[in-house]
Amino acid sequence: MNNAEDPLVQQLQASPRPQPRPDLAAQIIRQASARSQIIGWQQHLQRAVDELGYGWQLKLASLALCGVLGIFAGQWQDTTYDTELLVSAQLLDSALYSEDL
Amino acid sequence: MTDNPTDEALMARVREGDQQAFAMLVERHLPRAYAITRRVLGQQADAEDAAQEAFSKVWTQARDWKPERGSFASWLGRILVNASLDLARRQTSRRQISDADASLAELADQGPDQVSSYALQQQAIDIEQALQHLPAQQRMAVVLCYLEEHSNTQAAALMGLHVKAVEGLLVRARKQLRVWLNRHREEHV
Repeated sequence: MNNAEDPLVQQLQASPRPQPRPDLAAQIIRQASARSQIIGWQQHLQRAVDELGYGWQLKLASLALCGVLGIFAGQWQDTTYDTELLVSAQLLDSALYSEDL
Repeated sequence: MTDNPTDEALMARVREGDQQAFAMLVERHLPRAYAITRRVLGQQADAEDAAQEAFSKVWTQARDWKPERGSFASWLGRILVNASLDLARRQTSRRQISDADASLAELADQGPDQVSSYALQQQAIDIEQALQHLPAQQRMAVVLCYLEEHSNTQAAALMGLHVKAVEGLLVRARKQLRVWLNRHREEHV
């Protein structure tokens, strides 16, 4: 036991343990065993839902932010690409046109 | 079959849907489980809810328990710690310090040579109230290490933390408890 010499720890250890009410065990047994036991794939699904459920607001916000950034990045990329392509085509066209003349 | 089967033997039966084996496990582990949830959550109703949730998971997820991964007590401990801390997070907004009369009624009668005087019971209530002023993780560390007499390493495993993190929680908790108890004593002198 760590800090066993500390008077505060001794005081903590001297405090009596709270006891459950006498019928709590029976209530827990009745309510728990009324549920069906989870098997196989249900367990994996349950765990995935539990993990998804934890901090879901943050996960949803992150996903939305990624989506918005993706859209902006896509727009930006497309515009640049189109512009470069257009300039290249015009340069090529003007070069060809000059040669024709 | 022995009269006093081990937790592991009982869990093997629970995995097969044996309600009697589950009842034996609950009867065996509820006093300790309730003491942890009651001290961490402060409120009797919340403590009962957390214990109920933990044992319900033992029943519904019995097939998740693998004896080679550790003892049943450790597995139950982790479930219990998670259930208590989850409930503690949810209750922060509606937090109340536990009612002193309810605490007095709930304290076990441990015989005249141990805890019988009003002064000692009052001291226990003061400690319980002081505990409720700590953040949930510090409370859990204090309960596991000082009240349930787990080692820091065991408490760290149950809480899913590094042992150094648990030591840090205990140092901060002792400091805050001293401040609160001293202030409380001065107010009541």
